[in-house]
Amino acid sequence: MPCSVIGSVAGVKAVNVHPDNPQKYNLPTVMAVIELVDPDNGYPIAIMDGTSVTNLRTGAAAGVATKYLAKENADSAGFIGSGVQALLSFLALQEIMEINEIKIHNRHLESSEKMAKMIRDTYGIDAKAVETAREAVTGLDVITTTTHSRTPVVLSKWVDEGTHINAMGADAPGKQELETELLLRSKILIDDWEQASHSGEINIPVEACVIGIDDIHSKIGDILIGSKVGRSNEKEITIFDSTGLAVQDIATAWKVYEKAVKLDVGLKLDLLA
Amino acid sequence: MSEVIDCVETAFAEEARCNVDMLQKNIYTLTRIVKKVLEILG
Repeated sequence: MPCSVIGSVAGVKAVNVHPDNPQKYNLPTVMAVIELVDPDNGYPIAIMDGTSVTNLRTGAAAGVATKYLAKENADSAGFIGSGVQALLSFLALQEIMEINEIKIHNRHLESSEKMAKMIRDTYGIDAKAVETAREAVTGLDVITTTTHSRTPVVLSKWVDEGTHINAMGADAPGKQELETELLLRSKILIDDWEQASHSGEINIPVEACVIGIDDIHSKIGDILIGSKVGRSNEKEITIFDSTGLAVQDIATAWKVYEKAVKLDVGLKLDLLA
Repeated sequence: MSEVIDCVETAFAEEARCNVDMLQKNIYTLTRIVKKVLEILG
């Protein structure tokens, strides 16, 4: 995933998605390496682990979307999925909103219990593991889904008016976490049309011609720069379909690089010697 | 995490201002066009 921001940063991320890795090879599903280069001349500046950067920037994206799209005074959150991505999304959300209640659902109850305990012990928030997905959705202000599901795990009838949903899990054609009916009754925001329609939350309904580009409210970036309005009332349901842009990786990696230089950590190499 | 949130917020904004070049997007577009052409050709 190559990317450059004009006059600012440039780099490339090499990344895989192998869902069977944890079971077959005891390796993560997603692993990545990032190379940063000088945007003026292409000189290699740094090579770093991209897996942590990917996790961080994906969680942060949920935070940014929640900041701009959740209703005012939102104070409760539900998580469908309780892996690394759910944890990073929680860390971002707790920077954005004051959370008083959290419900977490995972197919494996022990996993959601582990996350709930960590949140209770570390942050003092009332966090519970729940046995059904519905319990982690209904009555909560912000929902974050981080599963690899190929069948919807959130049904439209469970979702209250005014909810904001971060749909973070779909990252390949054929994946879908939210029922299409829910998408159709919501204000949908994406990070990028080409990526979202190819492999994001909307990819299946787009392929089936149930949802088209005209059904998308805007890109999240358009809300940030003020060219589009985000939430327009307390009743609408907003959905952020996150696929993950290369610019998120490179901007985050650049920050890591700057901090490493400042703290004088890392291994110095002359790659062109 | 707050610093990463700031980074990602800036990244989204720069992309919306068309200051970002991402080859990956072009690949998706190309894939879509090729798929369509193949469909037309049967």
